[in-house]
This record gives sequence, structure tokens and C-alpha cells, in this order.
Amino acid sequence: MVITSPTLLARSRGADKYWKQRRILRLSAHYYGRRQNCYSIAIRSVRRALQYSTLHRRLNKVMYKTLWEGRINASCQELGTTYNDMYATMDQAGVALDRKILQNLAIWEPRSFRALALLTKAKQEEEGLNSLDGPVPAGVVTRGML
Amino acid sequence: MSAVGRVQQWATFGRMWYLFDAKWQNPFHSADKIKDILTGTHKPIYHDLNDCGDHVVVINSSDIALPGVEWEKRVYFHHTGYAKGASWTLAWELHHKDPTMILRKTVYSKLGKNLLRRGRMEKLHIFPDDKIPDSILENVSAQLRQMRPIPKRLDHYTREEVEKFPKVVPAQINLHLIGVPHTSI
Repeated sequence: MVITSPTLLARSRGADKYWKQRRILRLSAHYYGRRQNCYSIAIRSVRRALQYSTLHRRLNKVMYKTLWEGRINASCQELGTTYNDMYATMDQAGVALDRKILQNLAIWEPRSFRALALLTKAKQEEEGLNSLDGPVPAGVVTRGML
Repeated sequence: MSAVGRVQQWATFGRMWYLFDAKWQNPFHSADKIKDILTGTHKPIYHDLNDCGDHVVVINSSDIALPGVEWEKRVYFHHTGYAKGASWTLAWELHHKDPTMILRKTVYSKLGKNLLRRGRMEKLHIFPDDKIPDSILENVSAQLRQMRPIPKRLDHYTREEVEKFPKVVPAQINLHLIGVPHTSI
């Protein structure tokens, strides 16, 4: 702070405080009652709201992941597979699409999603997943061999 | 919106009315499937707040089949709110009083315990027999597959089917088996 004259020595602290409070009250503009206009009440709500938003950035990712998995599973069930089987087989098939893109395809590009699901089903049969037919792993003796 | 677009919109967001025959079905397993339909989890556009659930019309709820000793052992709790108002009712007693209650309570308990539950239960219509009001019947558009296959009764097989069935011991024995069309094996 620059004090260049005796009159300015009488410090006015109002301007700074006003803008600090304005910064908080701008965030509380949509609150109920005195919480939106009175600083000492609004600061409590705004602090909690900011803490929630920081902590829930983590929860957001979890929430969207479960939503996307549920949506992909719904589309998979219509096509005769499950999300777990499809997602695991996509890795083997070399398709590197994430859950966000897959759920977008399931909603907006159903035929592309269907193609991917059938691809994974065919890959599963090739790999021998979930089936008693197909090649037997080394070291295993099955009834048919005897 | 084009005609094709309009058809797509209706096909995606239109509410379906599914019919489910609960005859000889396990209500606990059936309720898992029914709750998925009521919440809309079977659709790729699912979200809790989307209101994308479909209606389910259940018929023959008086013929449900509980597993094991559930009829004798399972109790349903009710409290009137007044003092000494607690009651525990056995499943068979509750079924005698109201044949739709067991399935209704099962679905209610399987739905998410939130404010959307009551609205979703409104979309479930249970009838003890196969008599459905016309106002509901005209909405029904599809049927849900039963989870437990119903075996065919021996006396419902025709004589030709019995005779054509491959025999283990082709001996000339005339047997009169109770409930089976009389034939020689």
C-alpha cells in the first residue's frame, strides 16, 4: 500500500473487504433467505459448498462410470452378452474404446455398438471363453480325451 | 422433425407396457427382473431422473411358487403406528388375505430406497388371476419371458406323443399309469 499524503494515512479498509465479500456473495446468489445477501451467514454455506465441490470431483467420476457401465450392460443384454464379457474381450480384440465412448455409441450409434458386441461374441467363441467347446488349455485332461 | 425422426423419438422414449405371467414362478427372482423394467435400467438411455421406466402388468400372482419352506417360514412385518401394533404375518397367511401382496412387497423391497420408489410402484399392476381390466389390457404391448420354465403335466400329453416317445425297454407290458393316457409300452 502506498501512503503519499497525511490524508491517505487514515486507512480505508472498506474497499478491499467489500470486494472480498462480493466474491463470496456472488457464489451465494441462488441461496434461500439471508444466506444469499448477508455475508456472515452466506460464508458458512459457501464454504461448505466449495468443500463439497472439491470432494465430489472424485465421486463424479465414480457416478459416471457406474452410469455408463449400466447403460452399456443394458445394450449388451439386448444383444445377448454382458458388459463384463464384452469389456474384457474388447481388450483381446484390440479395440481400445472407453466406457464414455461405448455408452455414446450405444445411445446414438446402435448399429456400430451392435457390430462391436457381435465382434466380441465371435472373439469369445474363438478364445473359448464361457464355452465347453473349443481348444482345451495345456495340462488339462477332459472326459472326452479318455 | 422428419417423419423418420419422429418415429425414432417415439420408439426411444415411448413407455412400454409389459405383461408377465407369474404362474409357478419364483417371486424373488421375478422381482429382480421386474424392478429392472420399472426403473428403466434395461435401456441405454437410463438415468434415475429420466423417468424412463416401463409399466409391468403381472397376472396369475395367486399361483406364484416360493422356494423351499418359505411359505411356512417367511414373515412379513407390519406396524399400525399405535402401541402394541406390531404384527408378523406368515407368507401363506398373507397370500390368503391378498394374493398380490407377496409380489408387491418383494418388488418394493428390491427397488432403490429413495423418493422415486413410490412412483415406480405405481407403474406395477398386479392381478391375482388372468382377468385384466380393458383399460390396462389395451395398453399392453409386449411380454416378459418367464424365468422358470413350466413343466408339462403328464396327463396333458397326447396319446401320439406318448407312443412316439423313445422307449427304454420295448417289452409288451400293458400298464395303466395314473394320469397318463392308457397305452402299451
